[in-house]
Amino acid sequence: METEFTHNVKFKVSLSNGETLYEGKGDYKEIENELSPWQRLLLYTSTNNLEITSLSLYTDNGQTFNLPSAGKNPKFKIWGELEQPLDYNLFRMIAKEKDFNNGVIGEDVIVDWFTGIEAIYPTHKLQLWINECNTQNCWVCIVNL
Amino acid sequence: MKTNTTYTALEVLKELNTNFKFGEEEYTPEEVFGKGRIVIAGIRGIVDPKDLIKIQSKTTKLNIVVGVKAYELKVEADDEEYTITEEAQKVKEEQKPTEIVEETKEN
Repeated sequence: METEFTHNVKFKVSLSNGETLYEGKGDYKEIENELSPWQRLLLYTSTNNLEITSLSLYTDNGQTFNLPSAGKNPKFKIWGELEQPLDYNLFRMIAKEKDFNNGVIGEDVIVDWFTGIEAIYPTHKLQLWINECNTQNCWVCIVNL
Repeated sequence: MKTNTTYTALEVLKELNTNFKFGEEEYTPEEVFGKGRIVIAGIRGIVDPKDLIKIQSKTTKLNIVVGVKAYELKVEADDEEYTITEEAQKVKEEQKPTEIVEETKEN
């Protein structure tokens, strides 16, 4: 489904039963008037007593952005030796403003549009923010809880 | 649990009347925060027993996930007046900024 807000940045998630699921594929495509792919994933995990063991973002041109894993055998080995997240979350933020040119108020223009993921620890959250308008740009934040 | 009322996250977990297991370890509601995933009413990242949860009007049940186990708490309708539990009120008082009682002296 093509909309004004078709995402360039999508989630990829691994679950405690070994499944790996991708936003935009299979059961996790955007469907008008239904729960979002992320909400459907959360429903699936709670209904089936599953945990998210890793969360990353990907783009169709092959970029990936990875949070630390909570799995038993992460591909990036260092993560297996470090404190593992308790949980994960996905968020999206968008800001629009009116185009204003020569005294004429025009169309709405997107000024900021991010997809973000966070790894939740006992005392803080580690966030990755990706710019949907230019996926070459990524920021990391640590938020104290 | 009642609608239009604010509770602490600890009070919500105590309502389940159970301990919680992460792997082989078992924890009481007081001990479980920060040990694993806790989701209350869709709010992820509950790591502090003093996190405040307000149950909105017209809520009929509260979905809770601790680790891999999902729970459901029935909620009674009580929308007439907003209430806050004693524990939640204490937490709110602790969060108030400290009043400055001395003026800054100029150098």
